[in-house]
Amino acid sequence: MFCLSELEDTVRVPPSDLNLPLEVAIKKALQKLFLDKVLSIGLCVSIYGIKSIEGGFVLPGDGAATYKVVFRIVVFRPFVGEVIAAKFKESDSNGLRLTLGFFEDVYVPAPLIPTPNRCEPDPYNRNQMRWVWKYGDDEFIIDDSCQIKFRVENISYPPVPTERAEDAKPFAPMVVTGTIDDDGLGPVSWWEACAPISDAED
Amino acid sequence: MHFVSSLASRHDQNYIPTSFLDHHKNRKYLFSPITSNKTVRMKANAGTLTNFEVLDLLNSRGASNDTTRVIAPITTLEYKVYDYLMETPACTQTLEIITNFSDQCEDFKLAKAEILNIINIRPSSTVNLASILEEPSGRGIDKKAKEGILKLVEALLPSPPIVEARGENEEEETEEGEQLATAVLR
Repeated sequence: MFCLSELEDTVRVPPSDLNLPLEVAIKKALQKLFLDKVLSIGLCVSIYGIKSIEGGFVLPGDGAATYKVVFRIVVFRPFVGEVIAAKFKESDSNGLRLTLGFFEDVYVPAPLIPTPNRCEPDPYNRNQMRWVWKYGDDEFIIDDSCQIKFRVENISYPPVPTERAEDAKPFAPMVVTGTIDDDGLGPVSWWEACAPISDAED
Repeated sequence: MHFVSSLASRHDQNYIPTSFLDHHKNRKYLFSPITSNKTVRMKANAGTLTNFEVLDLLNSRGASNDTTRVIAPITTLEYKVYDYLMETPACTQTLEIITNFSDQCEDFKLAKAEILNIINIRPSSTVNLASILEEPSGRGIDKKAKEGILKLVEALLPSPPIVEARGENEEEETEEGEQLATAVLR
């Protein structure tokens, strides 16, 4: 779910950092610029390393040094078809929302929850709805009792909204849509009852 | 669905949707205004990393040693990634294990994306493997091959940690493997 990406950018090192060794100062500036931000390639997680630094010119009127840096970063960008284990965060009538700790905008819309299912008000938590899958005679609840595996269906980068209602959810620049409607997906406890492969020889 | 256009093999060919390489004006940035009008030339995919490799990177910077989380040069976001990865099978793997595993997977003709999925998820049963393999019947991966893959997983990849996801108590245990076993009660 992570990739390396190579970028080239012009980085401004503020004068207060000029006493640090060059790589440390540039890394600090890069972290401030890129870390925890969503680019078109995904969510930047970490600076992997700096490949080359050029420049160091001081532009007129500015006390900072500007460098042209080629560097690699680790981005979180799951590919379509990847199976990821996540935790349950919340659910509502539109579907589920899962979280990975560092990334919280994984949505499983209602059509991608295995059918037949039903959505009922959660008896433990007044504000939430609870999804229940009915298979044969058994009913399986989707809640936070164990990890939930999902498969990535789509990643979208909604454009930054220009206006929003006051109480709208915080804007999510990167949204991963997942499905749990397949063998082995969904809460891990649903499939634990299946016996793991035995050592019997063929 | 013809195999060549399936999702997994598309990933094999380093398929990068052209939207990733658009001019910066079309990119959705969350940058501070200072850099928003500069062109950032980029190569979107310089290599895919397994979860283990990212965990190794964080460990090499000192994520595991520092219990106060203040001294090591690791940001809050990186710590969140570290916490997430410590609960996946990646925390019991080593580089030799995964290179060994991907070499031995060649017999089964799996797509790169599927090998990556298997290393990250460590399926322990056919049903877990089913969500990873794409069109197994169309490619000649029958039940015997699936069992072969699972045996390889059992033999080469160490067991994942046991995680209790419910609320306050989380115990992490690692099995034998090459890494030191530490049980952390959170």
